[in-house]
Amino acid sequence: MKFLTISQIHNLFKRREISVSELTKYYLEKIKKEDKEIGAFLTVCENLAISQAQKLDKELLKLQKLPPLFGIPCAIKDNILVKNLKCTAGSKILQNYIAPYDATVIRKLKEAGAIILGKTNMDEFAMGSSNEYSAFFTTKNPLDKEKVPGGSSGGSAAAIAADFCVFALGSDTGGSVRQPAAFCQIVGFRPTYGAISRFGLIAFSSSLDQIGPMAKTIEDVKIVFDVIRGKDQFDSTSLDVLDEENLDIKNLKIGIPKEYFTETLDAQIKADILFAINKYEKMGAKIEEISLPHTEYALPCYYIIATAEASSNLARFDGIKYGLSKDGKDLFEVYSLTRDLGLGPEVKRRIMLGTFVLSRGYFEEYYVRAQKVRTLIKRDFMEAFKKVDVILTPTSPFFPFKFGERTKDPLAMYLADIYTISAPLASLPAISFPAIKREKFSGSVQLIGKPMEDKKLIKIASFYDSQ
Amino acid sequence: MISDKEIKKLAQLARLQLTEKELEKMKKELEQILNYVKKLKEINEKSLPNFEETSILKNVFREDKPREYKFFDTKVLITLAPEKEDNYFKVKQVIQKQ
Repeated sequence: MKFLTISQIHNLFKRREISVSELTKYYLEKIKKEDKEIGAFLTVCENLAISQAQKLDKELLKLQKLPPLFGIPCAIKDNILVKNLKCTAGSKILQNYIAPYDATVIRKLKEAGAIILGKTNMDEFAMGSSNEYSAFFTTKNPLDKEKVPGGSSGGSAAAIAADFCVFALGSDTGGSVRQPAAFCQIVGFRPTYGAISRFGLIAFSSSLDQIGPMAKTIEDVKIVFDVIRGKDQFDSTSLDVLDEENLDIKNLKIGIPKEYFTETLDAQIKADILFAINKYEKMGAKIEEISLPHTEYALPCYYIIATAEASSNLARFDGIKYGLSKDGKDLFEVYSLTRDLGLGPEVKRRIMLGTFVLSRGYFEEYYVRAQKVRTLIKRDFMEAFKKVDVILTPTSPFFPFKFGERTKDPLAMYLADIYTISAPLASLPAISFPAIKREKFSGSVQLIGKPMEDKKLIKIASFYDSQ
Repeated sequence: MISDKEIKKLAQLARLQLTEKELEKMKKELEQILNYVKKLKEINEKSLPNFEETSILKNVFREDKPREYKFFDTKVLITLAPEKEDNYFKVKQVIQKQ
């Protein structure tokens, strides 16, 4: 029963070899026994999961065809609202916040028959790349418990790698789905900006945030994506992506941006990526070197835009409407004492930076310039996509690091996102998967696709998987 | 690069209560990050697009009317407030008496 995929589970259901309740209890037991050591979950909702499983078992007898996620146990990052469950976003300021409604993605998962096992740990408000900035505890990498699982969706990635669930949802602002996926050797997908509704996702940086599916296989990521994507009247930025095109790998042109292969890239990861390029070439794809000349500006550009938006978005945590509240002598003190008590150092740092780049005298110099550079980064990709169908890069410049290795210097942590940050800035879909199946860590491949061509991108990734 | 006065003003704007020691540390860290993001200044001004060209997004308009959402009860939202009165959030007095 190890590392089951959706289709394997559905076969077991169809052959009546296991019931939904039995399967759900199997995962819950495993979490109970093994998660003390990993720390993937902030909340486990045993009762909710079991009662839903029992309901599905009754339906199983009547159904001819199973809904796409029927009886599939999953985990949800703790910045996505699941009705009547705690939703902390990894922060003390929301420690006792109970979600009053389901996010659109959760409603769709439930309708498709998925079983929610619990909420996963994350860096506070999704700000971080190691899960060390969670206000509660640090998740360990199931493949090497002395290493970080990546972040900010580190709990979701670890839950899959530890086989505590079949798939999970994460959110990706600058790489928070793809980077932990790479660190835990699973598959993570960030769609085109707008492809998945964000209604019910706690906002960090609204021009960049996207929810993304994470799973053991590309096939499972595709199944989950097809369930949760689509236009939603409660998220005005949501949209429908293009339908899949028939694709022959012999006509496929893959671009390799030379700016992603500098000396900062780990030698083993570089070798693994070259192996992946070679594999695509052997399958018949054409490989072409391309240039994305503004790549080196993506990270500084991101840290201006994301922190500016975060400083606005996080203004809502003020001790008035919900969450933690600390009394003070006047309204200003209520705000500032609440935020002092409830927010961690990295969040405060980013709010301060965001406030700075938006403040009078600095706005033009930082924020406006960053927006202009963002346009140049987008144009780089549009130029490249005139020549190639998809762009292949490493996901992370290095393998998972040890706890504490990058927390002393904020910039050292930011560098973890160096290869994942451009796709969100250009609103592009990107998927990460391991280049080689290895006992421990292998380099992960990132494929970046054209806007709206999410299905084609997943298809290109699945060619690799099936070989 | 950032003065003591500026960092205090920023904390106030951000509604963050920071001690003198925290302000000092924050100042150093912000300077370090700003020193890094300054890299954007390397790009020649002439090659930058106009600010108006930076957004390709179009506004999505809807009628300014409350909408029904069948999946949740808006009345529940008010129950989450730390302080409330009837159907209102309760806050401290904003305008002080003379």
